[in-house]
Amino acid sequence: MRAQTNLVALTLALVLVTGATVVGVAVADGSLAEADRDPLDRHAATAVADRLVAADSPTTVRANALNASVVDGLNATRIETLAPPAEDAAIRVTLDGETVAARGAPDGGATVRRSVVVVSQSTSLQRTINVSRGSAVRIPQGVTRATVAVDPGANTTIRTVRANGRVLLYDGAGLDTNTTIRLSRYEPTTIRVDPGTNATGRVAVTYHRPLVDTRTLTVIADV
Amino acid sequence: MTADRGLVPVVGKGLEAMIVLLYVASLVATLHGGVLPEYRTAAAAEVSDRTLATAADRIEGSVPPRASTVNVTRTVALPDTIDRATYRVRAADGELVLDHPDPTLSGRVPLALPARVVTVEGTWRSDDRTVVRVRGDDGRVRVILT
Repeated sequence: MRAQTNLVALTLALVLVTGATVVGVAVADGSLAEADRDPLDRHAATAVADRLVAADSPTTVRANALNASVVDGLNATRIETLAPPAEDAAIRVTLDGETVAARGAPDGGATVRRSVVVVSQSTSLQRTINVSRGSAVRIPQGVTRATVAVDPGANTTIRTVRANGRVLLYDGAGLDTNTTIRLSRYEPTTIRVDPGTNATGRVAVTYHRPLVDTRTLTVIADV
Repeated sequence: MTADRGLVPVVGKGLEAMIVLLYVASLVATLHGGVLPEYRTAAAAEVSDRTLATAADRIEGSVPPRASTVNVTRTVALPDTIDRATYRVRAADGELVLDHPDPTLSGRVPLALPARVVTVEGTWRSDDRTVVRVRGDDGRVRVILT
């Protein structure tokens, strides 16, 4: 009778150990499955996002500033050319939830977000300086290029055009030109001319004012 | 009769010990024969993927913005072995290739680099120094793995 009690205890012990082993293996299985972070998905998504916002990318005007007209024409094939890791991957690129380019169903892949600005060009604006009144033109901040057309009236010599007090154009014999100038985009610029007394004529300043929109770029990729 | 009765507990304990030994042996055999190698392969495959993705990330991150002279030297940390074997990482046709003795642990991933990068070349051995060098000027940049 005593020997049989021992046998029961032994069987129970073996069952318990078996149970513990099975539970241990199941937990290990779960952890292993959870540890799969799809590094190649993440790499593809990061590569696409980084290439799209890089300063030297054809889709940007500068780092993190997307060119709206190029972004409109974006598709999966062009993204693939920019970022080869996206080859054959299901991918979706969105700006504030609005799909820019998509191929396949990448749900379940890695997601990468970047804060970007989308820059679009407005139609050109023209401001005119009336030389006889000695007026000035103020170009708002954010404009990097402008065209200055100097058209002096009769018996007038315009020698200097200044931007924020610094000399922009100068010709001792008198300006009569149409020139593209580069401006700092960090501050507004005031364009003035130095006319003599009784001067007439006009100076036309033409520029495109960029429309800037802050958006979130989201890239989902599943290799 | 008395001698037989004395043997009963000895035989009983002996049988118990035998059962426990057999059980432990079968448990060890199952774990080492089936479960453990499977886990090892799964973990090695994951490490291999991560190594490749990390190396590609580091190489892509080493290319600086456009500049008149580019000269970058950066050490990339890679695991010495994957599944107890050394491996090589090499650049071929704009892709990063991981060569492992076990073909299931090898892999390749394309590199996303700016258009001004003209070549990516070189090989890393996992148990050696793994350094990425970026050399070039405004228009042409070379990436070398040494």
